[in-house]
Amino acid sequence: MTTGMIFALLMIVFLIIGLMMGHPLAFTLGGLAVIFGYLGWGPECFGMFINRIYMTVMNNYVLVAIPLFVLMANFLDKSGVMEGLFESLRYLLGPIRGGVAMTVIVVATIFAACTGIIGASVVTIGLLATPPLLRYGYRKELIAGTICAGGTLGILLPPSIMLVLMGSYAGIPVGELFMAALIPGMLLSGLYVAYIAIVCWINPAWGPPMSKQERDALDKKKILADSIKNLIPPALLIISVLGSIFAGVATPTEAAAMGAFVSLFMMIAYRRFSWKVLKESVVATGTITSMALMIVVGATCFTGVFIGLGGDELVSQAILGMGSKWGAFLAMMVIVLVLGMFVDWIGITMICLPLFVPIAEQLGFHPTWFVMMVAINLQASFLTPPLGYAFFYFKGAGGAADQISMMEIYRGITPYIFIMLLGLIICGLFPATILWLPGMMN
Amino acid sequence: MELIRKILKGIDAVTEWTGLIFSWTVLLLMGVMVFEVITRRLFNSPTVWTFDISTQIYGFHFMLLAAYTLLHKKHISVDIVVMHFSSKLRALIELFTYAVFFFPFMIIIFHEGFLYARESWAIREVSYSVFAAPLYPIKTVIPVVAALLLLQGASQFIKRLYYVAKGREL
Repeated sequence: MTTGMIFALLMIVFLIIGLMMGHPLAFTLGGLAVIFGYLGWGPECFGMFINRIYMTVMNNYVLVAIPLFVLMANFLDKSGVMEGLFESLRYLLGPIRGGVAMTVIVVATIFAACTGIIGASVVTIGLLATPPLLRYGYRKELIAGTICAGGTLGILLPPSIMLVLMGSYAGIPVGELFMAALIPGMLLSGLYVAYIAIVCWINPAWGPPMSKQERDALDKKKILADSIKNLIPPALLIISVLGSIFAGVATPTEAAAMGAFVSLFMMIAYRRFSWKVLKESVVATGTITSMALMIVVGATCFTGVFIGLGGDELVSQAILGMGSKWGAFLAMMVIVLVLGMFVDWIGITMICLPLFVPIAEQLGFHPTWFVMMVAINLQASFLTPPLGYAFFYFKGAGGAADQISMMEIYRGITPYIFIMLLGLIICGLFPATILWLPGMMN
Repeated sequence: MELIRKILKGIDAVTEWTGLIFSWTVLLLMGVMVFEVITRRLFNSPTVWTFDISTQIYGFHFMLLAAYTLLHKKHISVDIVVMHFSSKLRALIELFTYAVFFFPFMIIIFHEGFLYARESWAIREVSYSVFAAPLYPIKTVIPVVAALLLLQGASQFIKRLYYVAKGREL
């Protein structure tokens, strides 16, 4: 092992230490790049920082989709379309055991197919669904787990800013990744619904159905009509945004802009538009976009130094040293899973993908399949303790979520982590789940 | 003390206003892209400038909002460990991490970004596209943002320092 490699290894160790000290990830990454670049390389490496920041982050047309998808999510969030959908669908599924929790997954899946960020979906669905779920007497663990896992689908199901970033840095067309993510995303969503059905069947007290009086008091025709009415706008949005990308009519960036534009009109149509709401959406878009892309800025400096010190060789030696092809694959998946406990998905994408994709290709794995496996794996990073970002959004939203303790959240998300791993194994055993749709496109 | 308080207030106000004003550029970005889609798909007459311009607006937007995001503590950080510490220890850790990570990074970005932008201005650099968009303004954004972040970081640093020394917020 060279001195450079030891420095590279120390970079990862200090990254986790620095993060635990509460410093923003973006500046921790950048600061470590400066320190280790200086120690292991010399001050002449600093010129590379600006070059990387400008060439790979700022001057990157693919990433232009990120602020636009975030804007679209904020507009949709404010339009209240998810509220209407949740209200009508919960009466539809309410009579079944666990039905309201299943509604959360269904609405979260639809929301995920409209937007590409997780913060907004967990907060919105948490605020929307927690009070009725508590009122019906659902088990608190189930409530917390369902909302966190459902909201997290936003980052996997297309459109997703994670897939935009991955496509850009793994050199795979974003449209192809969007196609590839469709079946795995739906699979996870289906597994969540199945899990709710099974636990509520075994323990009826976990998810009591709507009472008979409440059911009889409802106008069934009106509920059906409302459901359809509330399903049409998001369905149109999904078809126009994803459809135009899949049909090759628009680039993901253009589709993101059109999606944001249409969502703005939806906000007006739902009579939720005001200058105050517009300002809030615009400012929220600014901070979320800047937060995400500043991590990319810090991370591009970090990986530049890490690779320059021979860290890529160190990683590839360690992974190929596993002996077999699948041993190496397993090692990479475990690294992503373990890093996901501490570092957020942007940091992991920026650090791991440039190192892992060449190794995966060398081993003979299909790059799209491999990147998608990392994407599914990263779903778990939102839920794995100690740092599951999903439950911080859930808790941070306040409201009825305050009645659910941190321990209940931890217990509630644990089964969902295992379901995610099950989904990962299914997609690993049956690569067609990932590769079939993109294959159709070509 | 009164002077320092005024200066810090001034810095925070500058950051606040740059954030509130420049966050609107995302609507401009949306407008440019929508215009491009309509002209190309509907009227079949693509423009040469939207590609360059949209990329530059995007770069300008997320970079310029970095200081505002810092002021409002929206940069992702992990407080699960430090939340168990006393507020004085937390302030001390914050001073340490700013000194070790934040300032070195931002000083380097400011210095190197300044050289990078100066070179671009010297040759009046333009993009390779047909439109040949000037690149020096967008490259100048890098040192400007680094300066804004340095100011905002200094404001945060001094506030924490005061807290450690005096035991109350400035």
